[in-house]
Amino acid sequence: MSPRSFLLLLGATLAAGCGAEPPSSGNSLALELSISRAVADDLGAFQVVVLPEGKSRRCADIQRTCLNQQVQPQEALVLQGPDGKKGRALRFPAGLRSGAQELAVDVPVGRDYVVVIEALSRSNPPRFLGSSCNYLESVSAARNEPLIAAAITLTEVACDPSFAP
Amino acid sequence: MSVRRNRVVASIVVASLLSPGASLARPLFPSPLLFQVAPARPEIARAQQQISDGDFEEAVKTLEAGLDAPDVTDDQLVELYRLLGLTSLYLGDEARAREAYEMLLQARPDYELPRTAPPKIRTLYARIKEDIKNRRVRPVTLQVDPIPDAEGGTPVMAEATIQDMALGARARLFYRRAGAQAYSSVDFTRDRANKERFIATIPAYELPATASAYEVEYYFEVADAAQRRLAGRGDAFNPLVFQIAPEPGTVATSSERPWYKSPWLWVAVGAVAVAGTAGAVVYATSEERGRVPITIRVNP
Repeated sequence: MSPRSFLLLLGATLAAGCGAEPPSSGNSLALELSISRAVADDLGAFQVVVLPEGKSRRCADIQRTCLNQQVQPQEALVLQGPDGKKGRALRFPAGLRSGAQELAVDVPVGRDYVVVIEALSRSNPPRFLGSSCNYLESVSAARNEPLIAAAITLTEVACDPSFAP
Repeated sequence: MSVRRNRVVASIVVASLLSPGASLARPLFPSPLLFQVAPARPEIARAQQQISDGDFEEAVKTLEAGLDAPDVTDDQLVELYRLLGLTSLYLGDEARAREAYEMLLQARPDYELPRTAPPKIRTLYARIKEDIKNRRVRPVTLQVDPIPDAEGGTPVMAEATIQDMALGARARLFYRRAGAQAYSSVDFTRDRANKERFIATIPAYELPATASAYEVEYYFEVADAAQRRLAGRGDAFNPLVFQIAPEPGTVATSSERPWYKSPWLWVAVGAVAVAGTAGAVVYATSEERGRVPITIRVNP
């Protein structure tokens, strides 16, 4: 093959790789968006659970499905909400503003935690709509830095994330 | 040209023969640094002569006799061990040479061999120093039985077995009558027959017989020249105790324990400690919390 013909072939190959995406790709994206929007409309609450021994946990595994299927209820720390209510899993009604929501929980003072936030559907019983797993190095009785949780990607999984009281 | 060269070579040879400092031959006993000069001692001089004569076995005997002498100064000990190390190496006994240099270094951690020392000795010496720096040298071990209760007016003897005793270190028995403020001390002396056996004696006049029994607090300590504790049993704050019995013929009375040895006091202290620990546990396990603000984000 002469150098000129090789360059022509290379140019043709590159040109074929550029340009607009094929129509099938656009359909797929639209479908995903519509599913995601539907799930977002179904979002009813967030459930916060804190686990000890954070370094030994695998966030990738935790986020796949409901946390209650992966840990014993008594493993979770007892938390306290701003209203004084205590529980191993605290629920907060969803109230997203610009895709974010701020809340606060009282966590036992200590180190090496994992904070798992699960998105719950409005249905009864609720369905798991995705979760966020975040390592929390320490909690002190004084001021603690805000935890900016990893973003939750809403995807429906058929399980009930409710923790036994 | 060649005549001139021969003349130069001849003059160098003659000069080297006349001047020991310029001699190509390495002296067997390089002159030590001024600050390392040890006072003369007959065994040292005799051993040096025996080493010069190649009579190394006799030199070892002479040096060991010198080390056994009761009035050897630290400087003399250093020199004796240096020669013993050298002689042992000549005899191919590296283990004994090493032991000798270890003893030397324990006494004088900053001791340096003269630069003219043979390379084999310098290598071994450097290795031993490295071992000491890395604390691979065996620590001093002290084995001693508690002193049993004794009669008043008689000396009390304590026997100890001390292994790997560092040169320049002192083993002492500290004692005081219970309640007294300061400790007195007596040195352990090495048994002539057994080098690891040491004996210390509290004189009789320190332990008078009295109408009532009393206690004597004591502890053992081996410390180096810088008074760093190398080994011990008990210490000034946690002494061991033996009792001196009351004088015969007197009515036996209960021993005069100091107030801080009253069992009731320690019962009370124990109760306080238990309560304190329980309190600490309760406090530690109480659900002290910290507020953590969380920002939840959801992918659009």
